[in-house]
Amino acid sequence: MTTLLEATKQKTGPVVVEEYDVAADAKKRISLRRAKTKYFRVRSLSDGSFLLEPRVLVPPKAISPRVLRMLDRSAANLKKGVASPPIDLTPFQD
Amino acid sequence: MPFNIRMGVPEMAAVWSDLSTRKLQGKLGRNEEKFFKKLVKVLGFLGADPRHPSLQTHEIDALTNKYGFKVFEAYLENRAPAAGRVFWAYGPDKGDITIIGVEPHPEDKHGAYYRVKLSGFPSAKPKASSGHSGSSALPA
Repeated sequence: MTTLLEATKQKTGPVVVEEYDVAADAKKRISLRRAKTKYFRVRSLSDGSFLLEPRVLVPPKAISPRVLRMLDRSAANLKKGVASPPIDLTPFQD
Repeated sequence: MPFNIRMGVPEMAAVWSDLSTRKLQGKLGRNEEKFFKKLVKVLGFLGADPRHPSLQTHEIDALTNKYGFKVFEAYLENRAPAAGRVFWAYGPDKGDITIIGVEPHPEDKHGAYYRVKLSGFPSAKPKASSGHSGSSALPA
């Protein structure tokens, strides 16, 4: 009779890699050990706990959603041949 | 060959109308004044020669593919880490250039902070009611 090994379930969530006690300094600052990112989202809970989530900066080449929306509308109108009349820069040029 | 500079509608036209009107009235704020000065300079260069070296004009392939016509980007200033950008395209008529967008967006008050966004880390929902059991409790 053949027996099969039961498949082990992989844990995908984060695991605790270090646990330590810290004391906040006079300005209520603590140092994070092993911190891999510079930016965090901090959630302060009603029981005195704090949750920190790592954040990253969007690449500088990325276009913000507002600008993208502006581009979408302008491009849609430009495709229809709609744009403002030519602008006159002469009053503003030195 | 000089080009006519047009503004994309509705937003760019509204932005230009607002800024130029207030400039003539002397009602621009300090930062708006700086921005407007750079914008006028860039638009002047674009009208004279879209390939002017200081504009560093280059095509944005992603936007070209998205809109189905060539979209270019030019910088508002050089040697600045967070330089503003102008997005433009040729048309609607021959000899026209239309400004379809500008960055920073006039409504973006704090551009740098706006760019901070959540990484791929799973989102954590705080459980304020359940007894939070110290440092070993991690978000699900």
